[in-house]
Amino acid sequence: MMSTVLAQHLSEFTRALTANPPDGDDGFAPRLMNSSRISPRLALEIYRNNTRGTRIKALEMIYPACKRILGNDTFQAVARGYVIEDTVGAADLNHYAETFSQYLGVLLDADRLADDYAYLPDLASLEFKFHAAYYADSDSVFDFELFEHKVKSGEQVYLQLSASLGMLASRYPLYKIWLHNHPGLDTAKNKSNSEHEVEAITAIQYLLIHRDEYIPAVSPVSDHEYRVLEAIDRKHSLQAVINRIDCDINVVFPKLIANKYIVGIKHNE
Amino acid sequence: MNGQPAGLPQNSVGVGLRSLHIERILNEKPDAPWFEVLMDNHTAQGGLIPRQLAAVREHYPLSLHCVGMSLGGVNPLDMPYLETVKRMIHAYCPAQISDHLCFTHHGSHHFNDLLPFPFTSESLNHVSGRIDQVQDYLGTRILVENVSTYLQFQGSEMNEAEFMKALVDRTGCGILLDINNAYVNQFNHGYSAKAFIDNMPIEHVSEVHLAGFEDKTDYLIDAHNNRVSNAVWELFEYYLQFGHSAPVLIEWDSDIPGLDVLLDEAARAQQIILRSSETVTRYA
Repeated sequence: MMSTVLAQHLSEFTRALTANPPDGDDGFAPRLMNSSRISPRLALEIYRNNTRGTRIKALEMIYPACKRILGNDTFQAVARGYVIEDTVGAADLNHYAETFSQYLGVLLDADRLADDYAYLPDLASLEFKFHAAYYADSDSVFDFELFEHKVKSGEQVYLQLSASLGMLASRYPLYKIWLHNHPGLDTAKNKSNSEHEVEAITAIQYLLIHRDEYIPAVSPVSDHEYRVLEAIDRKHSLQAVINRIDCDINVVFPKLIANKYIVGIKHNE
Repeated sequence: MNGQPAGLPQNSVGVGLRSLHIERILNEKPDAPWFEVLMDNHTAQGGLIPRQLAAVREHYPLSLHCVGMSLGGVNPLDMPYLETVKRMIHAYCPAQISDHLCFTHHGSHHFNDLLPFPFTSESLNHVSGRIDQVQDYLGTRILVENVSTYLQFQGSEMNEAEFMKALVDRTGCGILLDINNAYVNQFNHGYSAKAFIDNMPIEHVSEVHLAGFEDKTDYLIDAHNNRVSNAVWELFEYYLQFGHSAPVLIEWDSDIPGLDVLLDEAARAQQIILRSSETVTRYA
């Protein structure tokens, strides 16, 4: 970064905006003119509110179910706390606040959120993955000929997961909670997942978040399917996945490929 | 798309393309001459966003408006961001590309806001160099927009209009004149918006923005959440009386209403342009 008067001004401005508590403007305020209506101190407060307000709006967009559950006032307070602590922000607000889930966990641990909300970090994680799936790159079509050729030639095969695929394991009935609280949920795909599928999962609930074409969907899956995808995500070869996970590969793999969770073969492993 | 950019018609009034309007725009093809795309909301390469944007582009010219170049910043230029701009130019052939006279990030901090910097000869050298780099990389001229501000620096050596004129002279960039921002600054800082317009290199204005502000009684916030105020319409008329014909945009970014409201504002701007051009012609 260049070392100039301009750089010094910008550094002081940045310090004044990001200081928490806001006591960092003492060095910067004297550099400002007293305009007819706005004092330097008020000016900095306006900029703080603007930058934080933009991020809070981003949080509202990414975490609508969390907002609905907490209610507007509580969500606003939680979101404000998050953006004040997170002074770094993100260049692209479409990818902002992945750590909101962890922040909710910290609030729970500190008894600043009631235990009734213990599932909220998992729900926030689900919402972030849903949001990310919307913005994910499109996938290529599975090349079965290449797959067959590689398998027959005895090469190590590493499978490629969909760019939009998110995975989540939770001990809470997250799918049901999400269905009840995600606004504007009207895609046939999401509604077609009947609740008995959720009820059948009595211990850990395994969920996949995935965008097939345009709109993401959340789907409960079996632990076998989940663990296969998890192993692929951890860069295990196809053979290693088969060796590690006790399941009927002739059932599980075709299903995961048909659902476009697995979209191809990696070339550079 | 990879074709030729469609120019924006002179004296036309476009509106900002907002996601909640796109379905209706594609279904009904409303009589809008062009749309402005806020690039930072449309960077996804997969899914619905690029598909819809391509579909809109089939029927309308586009202007690409950016908020992340940080032309006044001192961090190195964000090359991945500029790569995205370049990709968008290649994909959608926008008629114009614009960003703001401000900085948006510093060090590791991203502000997602348009922050001012002092107008000094040092800043002028620095920003000119960055605009040159951006234009060279993108292979096209960009427009630079005046921003609304809530503070002024003691150390500024020139006013905003002088600074922008010098930028145009040095870099060949164009100007995006935001008349609402000029009015907000007049109200907040007590200087004349008309004098600001008088001193701008008006012949280099290639796009004009009109928007609504939020009135906080003691000061104004450039919130883009309202209809254009009467004071800003009057200032727009003042700008037009010199016979300028740059395309005009109705901006609305928060509390976004139905498309009809935006088109209604655009129709009002169009009427003012028409009335003004008749007056200018009569007295020419």
